[in-house]
Amino acid sequence: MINDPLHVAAEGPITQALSLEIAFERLPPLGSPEFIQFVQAAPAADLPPEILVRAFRQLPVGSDASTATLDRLFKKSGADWEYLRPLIACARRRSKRFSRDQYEDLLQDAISRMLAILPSPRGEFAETSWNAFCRRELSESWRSRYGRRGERYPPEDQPDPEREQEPVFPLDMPRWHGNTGECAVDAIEALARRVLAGFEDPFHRDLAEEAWFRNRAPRISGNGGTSEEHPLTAVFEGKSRHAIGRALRYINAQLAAALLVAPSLELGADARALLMTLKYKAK
Amino acid sequence: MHDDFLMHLLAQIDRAWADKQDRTLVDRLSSEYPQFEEELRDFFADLVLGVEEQATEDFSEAENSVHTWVVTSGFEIARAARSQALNHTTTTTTGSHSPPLPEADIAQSKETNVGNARIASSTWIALLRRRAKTRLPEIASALPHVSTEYLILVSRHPSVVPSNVKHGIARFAEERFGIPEEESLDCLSEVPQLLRAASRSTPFEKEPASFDELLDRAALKTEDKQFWLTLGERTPSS
Repeated sequence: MINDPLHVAAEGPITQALSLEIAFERLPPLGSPEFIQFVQAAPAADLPPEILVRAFRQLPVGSDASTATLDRLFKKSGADWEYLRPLIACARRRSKRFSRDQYEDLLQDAISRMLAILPSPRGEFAETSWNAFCRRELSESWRSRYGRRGERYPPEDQPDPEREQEPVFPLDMPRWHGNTGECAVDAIEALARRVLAGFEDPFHRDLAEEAWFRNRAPRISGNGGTSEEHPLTAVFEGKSRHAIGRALRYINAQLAAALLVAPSLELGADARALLMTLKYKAK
Repeated sequence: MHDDFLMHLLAQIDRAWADKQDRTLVDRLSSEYPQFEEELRDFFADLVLGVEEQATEDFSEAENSVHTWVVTSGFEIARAARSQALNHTTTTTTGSHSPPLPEADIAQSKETNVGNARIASSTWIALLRRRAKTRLPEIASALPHVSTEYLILVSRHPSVVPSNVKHGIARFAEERFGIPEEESLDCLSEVPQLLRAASRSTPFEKEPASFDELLDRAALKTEDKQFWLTLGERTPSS
């Protein structure tokens, strides 16, 4: 199994993450040509965003190295923002009913705040947790525009109820049946059982049972057909579809996280590709 | 304090996952601090799953536009802020700790944010979008002699825009979108208020120093640039 990409990944950065301090010490001398080359070419797994922030905060203003560091931190390849995935995920989720311009304004405000604060004393927080820093500034941008409870949301821009859709959350996590080697099914199901058993909230345990161990992926809401097809709003009376969708996303993230760090599994090509994608997203 | 503590919890979850692939901390913290449960769990899901869905065409365009802005103009914000920070603090090249934020700076930062909220609803671009109910590029297409970038620059830097130009562009907005000229002129006040200057007490270094410089940045056609230059050079009474 040593040639299995997932196996290699499991032995690599994802399970042996260097502490930020060590990663910083391993950088080529700040500002050197080697540093610039490293910042431009190193895989994200070897270059945590917190290290880029720390380097940027120490580099001379306007130097080539400083510019290269910012370039990398805000790099976007196609649709993919290398170090801003959690921020973008959150911004998109909060903006589901927004127009293009509203979404653009919110995102630009958040990044503008990040850029302004990054070199200041408050920016030191980003050296510890880039993703929490991004989340903080996105939240601040939202509040600046719309108020803590949306009280400044322009009345004429209130969402059109006809365009409102059920919150979109992914229902399908890796459906391992038919997507993995025969002997992997048992291992994955056992892993899923362990994840389920580890949830402290009984609702999460029950939801995982419904979402992961039924023959068909359940719908969140709607009119149920057969008893096997009852939507989750019928199974969990008293829970809104939004609450169910949100919880589903969380338990699916927990399952994905467990699969990502599990020892090598005999996964099919599709499942392997999905997890490899998640692995890079997670970094 | 409430938000600071939440951010402290988020940072713990981030580091636990990044450094130790610990996916259980979020559940423990959610149980311990139920008032933050939703934020903590959403954050963890964003860390692990990232962006799951393909963006709509509109959102994809918006993200491309923001990225273009980041690399063409946004980095200037960081450079200016870094210069500013160097004037106030001593940054070593080896240390990892910066001095804590003085209370006065925190208060100033909060005041700036409150101010920004007020400004956000009164920028000219915001007015145009709200009244025209369309996207900025479409607004730019509907107005003569302008580009999207020009509208943004005029809105952000009205202090360098000649009065005749403000009147001219406000009249265009009235003719095309029915926005009263006075309302546009109110937004294009002489007071330089920078929505983008979050947490800064001084203007950015790279503000356009003149209307000519603003025009140079606006990616206008030669004839359009000449139109605004000519209009700007007229006496106010003409």
